[in-house]
Formats: sequence, C-alpha cells, structure tokens
Amino acid sequence: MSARYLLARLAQAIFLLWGISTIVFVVLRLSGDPVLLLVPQETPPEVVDSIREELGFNAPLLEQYGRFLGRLVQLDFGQSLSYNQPALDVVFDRFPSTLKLAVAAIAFTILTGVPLGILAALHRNSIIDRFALIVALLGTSAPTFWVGILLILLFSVRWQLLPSIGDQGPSSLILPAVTLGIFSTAKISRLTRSAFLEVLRSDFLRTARAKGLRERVVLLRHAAPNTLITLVTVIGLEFALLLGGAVITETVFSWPGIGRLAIQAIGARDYPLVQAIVFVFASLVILVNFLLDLLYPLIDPRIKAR
Amino acid sequence: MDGMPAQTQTLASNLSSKPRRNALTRFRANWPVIIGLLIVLLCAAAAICAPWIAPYAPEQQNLRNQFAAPIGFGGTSEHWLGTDQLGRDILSRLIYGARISLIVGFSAVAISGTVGILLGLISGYYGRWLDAIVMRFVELQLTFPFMLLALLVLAVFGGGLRNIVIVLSIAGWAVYARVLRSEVISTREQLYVEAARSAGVRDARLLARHIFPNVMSSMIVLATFSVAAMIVQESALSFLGLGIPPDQASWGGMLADGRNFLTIAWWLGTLPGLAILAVVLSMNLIGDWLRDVTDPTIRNTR
Amino acid sequence: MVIEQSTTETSLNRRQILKGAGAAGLALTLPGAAAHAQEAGELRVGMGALPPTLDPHLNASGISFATFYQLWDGLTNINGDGELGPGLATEWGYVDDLTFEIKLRDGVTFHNGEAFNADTVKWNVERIIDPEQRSAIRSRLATVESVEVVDPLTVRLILTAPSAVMERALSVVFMIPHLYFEEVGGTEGFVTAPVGTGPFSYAEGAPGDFIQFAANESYWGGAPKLSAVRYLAIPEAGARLAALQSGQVDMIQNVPLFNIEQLRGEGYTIEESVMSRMHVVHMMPGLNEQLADKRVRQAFNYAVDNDLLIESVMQGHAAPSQGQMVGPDGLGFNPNLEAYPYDPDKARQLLEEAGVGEIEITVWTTEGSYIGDKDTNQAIAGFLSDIGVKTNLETIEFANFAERLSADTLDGLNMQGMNYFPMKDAYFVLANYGPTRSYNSIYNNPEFDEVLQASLAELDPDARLELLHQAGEIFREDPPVIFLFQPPDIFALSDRVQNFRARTDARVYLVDVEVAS
Repeated sequence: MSARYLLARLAQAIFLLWGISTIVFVVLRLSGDPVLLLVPQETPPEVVDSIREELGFNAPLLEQYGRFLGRLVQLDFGQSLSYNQPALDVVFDRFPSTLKLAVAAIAFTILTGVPLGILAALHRNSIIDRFALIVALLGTSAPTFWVGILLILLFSVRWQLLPSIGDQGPSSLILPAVTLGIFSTAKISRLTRSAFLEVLRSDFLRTARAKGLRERVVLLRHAAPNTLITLVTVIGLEFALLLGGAVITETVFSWPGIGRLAIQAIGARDYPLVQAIVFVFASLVILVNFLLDLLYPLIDPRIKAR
Repeated sequence: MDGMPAQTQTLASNLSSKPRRNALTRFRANWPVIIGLLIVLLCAAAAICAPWIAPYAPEQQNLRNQFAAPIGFGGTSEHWLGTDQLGRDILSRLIYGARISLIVGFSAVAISGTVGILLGLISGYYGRWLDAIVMRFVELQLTFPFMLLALLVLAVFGGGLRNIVIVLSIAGWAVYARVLRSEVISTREQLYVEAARSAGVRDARLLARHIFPNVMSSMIVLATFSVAAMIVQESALSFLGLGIPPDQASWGGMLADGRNFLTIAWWLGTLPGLAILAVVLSMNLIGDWLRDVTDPTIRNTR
Repeated sequence: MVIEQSTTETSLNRRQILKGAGAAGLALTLPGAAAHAQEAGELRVGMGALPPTLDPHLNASGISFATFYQLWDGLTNINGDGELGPGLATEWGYVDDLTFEIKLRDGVTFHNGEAFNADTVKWNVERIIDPEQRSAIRSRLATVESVEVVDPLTVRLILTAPSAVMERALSVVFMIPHLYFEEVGGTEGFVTAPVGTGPFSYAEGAPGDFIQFAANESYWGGAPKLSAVRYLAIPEAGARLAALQSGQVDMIQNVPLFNIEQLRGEGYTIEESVMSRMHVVHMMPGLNEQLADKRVRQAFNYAVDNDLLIESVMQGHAAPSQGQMVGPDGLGFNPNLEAYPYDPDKARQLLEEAGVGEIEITVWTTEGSYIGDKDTNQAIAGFLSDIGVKTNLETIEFANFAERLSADTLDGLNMQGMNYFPMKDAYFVLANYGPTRSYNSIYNNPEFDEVLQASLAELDPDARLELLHQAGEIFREDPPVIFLFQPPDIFALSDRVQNFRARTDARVYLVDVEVAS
C-alpha cells in the first residue's frame, strides 16, 4: 500500500465529509430560522434578534457557510441547543452504544447468513434451498420496526427471556441486534449461495475431483476466499444502510444510541447536534469501508491494494 | 435500500441474442414466477379499478364500529376484512392502498432508475472528468445513511406522497449509476461497439442503439428488486411519522399504524403486512427469474 | 450506560433458574443479569420522554415537569386538587400594588448542602427575568422588574404592574443553588449533575435516556418512602407496554388508550386522571377569510360529535369541554357555560347564513405529540366532511408545526393541547388568545382582550373571577377553537407499586409511593 494511495483515500474522505456536511447545512438552512423555536414565546423581538446574532443566523448565508466550514475543520460543531453541551460530546456519549449494536448486528448477519447460503448452495433446488429463499424474502419484506415489535412480544412479553429496553448489559443487545441484522441476513445468504455456486461449477473443482480430493474439502478451500470477498463487499455496502436502520431499531428498543439521538435532534431542530451526528455517521462509514478495502489483499492475494 | 445483489454487477447481458422459445419454456417450467406475475397484476388491477371494486371509500369512518373483526373471526360480510380504529373498512383501504404503495414503489424506481441510468451511461461512456464527478456523487450518496437523510428532508419539507417519492429516488439512483457504469465500460471495449464507432456513428446514437440495449437487462433485474425495497421503506417512514397522510390508505402506513393494535386487533397490521409480503415476494421471484434467464453462466448450471 | 455484571443479582437469579428452567446458560439472557441491579425500595418508571436538559429554567414543557418536581421545588406549591399552598415560601402577599413580599422557609438546604435563602431567590428570579438567559418561564414573571433582599428569609419582588396570578406563577419558579451553579461553570456543568431541594436527588443519568434518582432523606416536606427512582425513556408505546408486561419497569406513563382494558385483564392497576389541559382545534381565523365569520367557527363546533369522539377515539378516557378552555379543576371555570351540542343541521344552516361558499381547508395533524392526536384529527376531518366542508389532512412533524405557528403561517385547522397546569388558572390558557398572544392569526377580539387584561390587574379574587367568567363567555360566543376535551394522564402499575395517584398537572408525585419488595 503506497503513501500515494493513502493520500488519495484521505482526500476522498475529506471530500465526502465536506459534501455531506454541506448537504446537511443547506437542507437545514432551507428549513428556515430555528431561533423562534429556541426562545420561549413572548420573547421581545430585540432579544430574539440578539440571540440570532449570537448564534450567527442573521449573517448572509454564504458568510454563515464560511464560518461553518471554518469551525468544521476544527471539528467544532458548537453547543447542542437542546442538551446545552458541546454537540460532539453528546454524540460521543451515545456512540459506543450504536457501535456495539452495529457490530453485534453484523456478527448476527454473518453467523446466520453464511451458513444458510452455504447450505442452500450445497443442496441447490432442494427443500433447504427453498427454505433459505423464503427466509431471505421474509427478511427483506418485513420492515425493521415490525420485526422488532414481534421479537419483543415473543421474547420479552410472552417468554420473558430477554430484555427489550435500553442498554442494560450483553443480554439486552440480542433482540436489537437480531432486528437490525435480519434484513442483511437475507442478502448475505443469497450472495454466499451464489459465490458457492460459482465455485461449484468452476473448472478447478472438476480438476480437483479428478485428482481424487474430497469434494467438501476442495469446496471449502476454494469457496472460502470467494465468500469472504463477497462478504466484505456487502458489509461495506450495507454499513451505511445498517446505521440508517439503527434509527428505527433504537427507537423500538429505547436504545441509547445516535440513531435515536438523531430523531430527537432533528425534532428539536438542534442544528449543531444534527451536523455532528451526520458527520460522525459518515466518518464511521468511510472508516469501515477503508478498513474493509485493506482486508481484500489479505483475503485474496491476487488483489492488491491500489 | 438498494436491494442490489452483487452478481448483477457481473451480469453478462445478452437477453436479445437468445431464442425466444427457450425463454418461454423456461417460463412454463417456472410456476412460481407465474404466480408472482399474477399477484403483481392483481394488485395493479386493484389499484386501477379501486373506485369500482372497493366496497367503501377508504377514508369513510364509522366511529361506532371500531375494530370489527374480519369474516371468519367473528366479523360479518358487512366488512369482509374488518375495520380499523376509526371504523374504516380494511378491504377498501387495502384496495386503495395498492394504489399508493405501487405508485411509491414504481415511481421511485422509475425516477431513480432513469437518473441513475443516464448518469451511469454518461459516466461509463465518456469517462474522465465526467466520470470522476458522477462517481464522487455516487460515493457521497452511498456514504450518507439513507434514513438520516430521509428524516431530515421529510421533517424539514414535510411528508406527503411527492416528497416521499423524491426522497426514495434520491436514495436509489446511485446504485444504478454504479452498476451501469461498470457494464458500459466493459461493453464499450467490445468489438461491435468499436466497429460502430469507427464507422462514424454519433455518440448519442451509439449509446442508445448499441450500448443501452445490452445493459438493459441487468437494470430491469435491479429495478425489480428495488420496487419491493421501496414499498418496505415507505412503511419505515410511516413508522417515524413521516409517511403518507393517515386518511389516505397506503400499505406501509397501515402496517405502521397497526403496530399499536397488534395485541388487540391483529388484522390491522397483519393484513397490509401480508399484502406487502406478497408483492415483495412476487417482485423477487420475478427478479430472480429475470436474472436467471439473462445470465448465461447461471443458466448452464441450472 | 455501563456494561458490567452485577454479581449479587446474577447469583440470586441463578438459583431461580436452576429451579425453573434448569439451564444455567439462560442466566446471561435474563433481565436480572443486566448492569443495573434493582435495589429494594427502588421504583422503575417507563416514561414516554425525558427532558434533554436538566435546567428547570430553560424548559417548561409538560414532559419536563414529571422530572423537575422530583429534583426541585417552586416557591409556592399547587397540590393535586389545585389548591395553592406553601412551597419554599411560607407566606406571601402584596405590601402595596407594586411590591410583592415573600417569606421563605427556614432551614432548607440543597442536596449538596448549600443553604437556601433570600440570596438564592434573588439570583434565581434575576436569572429568569433576564431575557438573554432565554428562560422558558420568563413570561410567568413578566411584570417583575427587580428583586430586593430584605433579610435572609424575606425577599420583595418589585413589579411594573400588579399581577393577580403572581402567587400561582411562583409555583413553577424552581430554585437552583447559585453558588454550586457558578462553581460548576454554568448550565453546561449544571445539567450533568443537577442539584435541587426536591424530594429526590440526582444520582446519575444520560440526558433524554434515563435518570437515576436517590431519595432525599432530609427533604423539608418529609423523606420519601422509596429509596430510589429510575426513569427510563421508552418513546415507542408498544415497547413501553412490553417493558411493563415483562417486568422491566414497575409502572409506565402514557398508556396507549386501546390497551387499557387488556392491561386491567392482566392484573395491572390503571391510575388515571383528566389533566388540566384542554384539547382544542385552532381555526386560525386570521389566516382564512372564510373563518373570519364567527358563524362558520360556530358551525364547526356544532359539526363535531364530541361525545362520540371521546367514546371512540379516546375510549371514554377524557372529559368533554363545557364550551371553555378550563375544566371544573381550573380557577376561572364558568359553571354557567355549556358545550356546543352536536347538531349537524344547525351547522349546515349556519354555514348557509354565513354565505361563504364552499369551504376547503387543511387539517394539520401531528403524530404522537398529544394523546390520540392523529385519530382525533382524522375524526374531525370526517365530521366536517359530513357538513360539506372539504378537508385535506396533512401530517406535520411537531417542530415544523411549531415553526409555522411561530411564523404565523399555519393556515388550517390544527389541534393542540392547551395547558393550564401547573398554575391551574384560566388566565394562563386564555392569555394565548389575549393581548399577549404570540400568533396574531389565532384570535383577535378587542372586547375579549380588554376583559382579560382587566382580570390580570384585578387583585380582588371575586371581581377577578367575574372577569374571567366574562372572558369565557365572549370566547364561547366567538370561538377561535373547536372545543374538545380534557385528555387523561394514564399510568399502569404492577402490583408492586402502592399509593400512587395520577395528577392533573403532569407531575409524577412519588413522595408517598411505596414498593413491595
């Protein structure tokens, strides 16, 4: 991996963060002036004006944007208007919860999706394959919130096995992680299946068989890198979606993460907080994709990092 | 959001070069697809004929007849599928709901598909700086968690059918652009395209006549999967209170509403849920089938 | 939150598990294995929302009071029946028309040991009335010009005009410790470890997510019987219900109306009380010419079958408005007023007389901001179509709703819950339509303005009540709203919880509550 490559990636990351922050800035400013929402009713107009001044909402839009960029470079998003704390601090307080949830969801996805896909490929067009297909389709057609509520009704209310509110320890991670991951399980099982099918019909399998090697051994050895690459690609693609899904999962499970925070922040028109949340979300997506790119050459030596 | 299987990206695309009879026999052998198509057609018919076949107006309330059960569960033939918390007829709302849900699904796919395909064609064919710009936007879109963007835009600009379709379209276009771009790049290098170009065929014509038809099939497959995903997403937006206005019936909205009554009147959420499930299943079956008949490598092993 | 296993709780549970399920592996999956082990005497409450910031001067929304009253006290106190009584102040009254004297309770200390005295009051009142501080309760003290300390237990408020509502307004003037506040660096530090004089002190928490309270053993009003209280924010109604049913919390606030019977059947106790809040539909006559004619607004009132609405949408858990903005629990309630009866024929006739032609109007609806808001709005739209009014329902997110109201551009019908708690006085709700209104288009009736203004300056209680009644009469005759009902505050309790009573003022009063171990 060359320094040049790293630089290019860094430039790309900066561009993406700038672009996303700008989009959010524009959308928020188009929504109008939040100051009237921030002050109590019956506030005298001159006070409203001075607050507007203080928060910088009365400057020309371009100047506001310039100031915003200037502070963005220093990672200064300002004070959260509803929490009365630095916006970035509020986000980082919640960040570990969301990260934990996302990691657990991905783990669930892989642990269920991959075996299901392999089974389906090995027993193609059999009952198992059909079953896997149906599971996959159910996974894609059931909205996250619906899955979450059903899981709560069954596992928390009916069987009283698992907690359903908040982050109270490892056991409370299970239901939200399953809820968040189930959508991707469907996709990963389908992709694993096709990655395996590709190997099944490839020439080297025929060669290997001719050499008298056991089919399963060959399959696993050759299919593994293929499957891993598929997985890495999909996780990269899905990660942003997964974080988006966290908005809903965290609401259903009262999970103290940034997804729920995002809803509150947008609802309160807490501009600095919204900016900080989107920035952190996007940074995470970029970072994860970068790390996954570094994984490719490790999995398959034929691929070199650019 | 994208419902986009990676193998479509490696799709060889030569639907047109295969004998038609072959596809037909395949179709006959593939009964799930027929069922899928029938379901989709049925929904489309319901959507179109809603005013004539629905027993009630979808917004017509009867506050004295809340939570009437479906027929077979203690209900009467007055309301075949029961009523909701405002005494509205579920069957009528499902029929009218097909309208909005299909409009949301298909128009979001149509818009995002068109935009994505155009940008993908341009980006893949011309390459260089145009390509660089389009690809930066693609990356931007894929990095921005959709749900956050949707929340933000709908909260600020308000919900409603139009805005929801716009938001879903914004979320969808990038995948088309990226897939198409890579296909165009590989097609561009093929002999017949080279030949046409050296024969002096103009760019627009070349794109429209030679390249576009060849990459079309993978786009159709992709679109089929996306329609289903869009319908599910509309439900998620309703859950967050940013969906279609509640008097208009949409399956996603009914499903989201129904969650509050799950333990006291299961039919409110379950029935629209089944409708969504049926359409998503159908679209996926159709998509799978399209993929299989258009992908020669898969066909050989089938 | 912390992820650490509580050893005591796990071992306790293991015995039960071995007995019951026979699988030790399950220990990990049981709620008991969670980080927060419930102590004896602790009450866990599932709330719909928690205030994002714990500075009682900066926020005055209904959801905040449920938290604020645990930590802080007002100078006066209004009890569950709406009667005014002493709080941190013991006596008060006008020395002259422009001087209001307050005698303070002796020997009160904050949770951190800081003394409460006249200096505290002076600092707090000055902070609230300083416009730059953006206090949400500033308007409650709008006529206060300055504060004088007379002696350590006496302060005087110097007013610009006499105010008949001063003593009630003082019930939301929460006292925070100013020395501590400055020591921790102002609001930013204070909200992470707030300190008050209330029955409970702040132990830990995450803003908007959970708060752990500890009992204040030396509370001036008597120590609470509970040892601790844990508030958990559970925004999704179904999840709140599930949390109760699975034993993860002992009681929940804001019970979904349609699940009440089900919960009763499962053995939970339902505690409810109609709130000192009136749900009304604003018609915004200032923004719509057709509605400028009061006959049209009267017609809309006749068109709504309020009893049916309460019976169906609210499942009977609401008290109909008697054609006014307060119920019998509010000072200024006029017993001579009656609700508009349901009379669609009369409504059509009034529309005919007004001669405004066909009416097409937007019905803005929030979702989940007020109990039953979405269904109520849909039902209203239905009633109006019955008299030939064309309605377009639009969902609007609450902030957007508030933004448009502030900008005075919310053209169309919009339902809101208008609070008259915690002061429980008609003036505070009528002021939204009087000379001090924030949105001009909401109402503009000079006669009403005049009477309401007179009531504020009238210090004689009987004469003042007469003026408030009069204002109510004008308001009913020329209504800017469709009068609906007082919504309930509904709690569901497990059998562990004893002595809890729902209140009318959004307070969650826990001093008398006990939990069985």
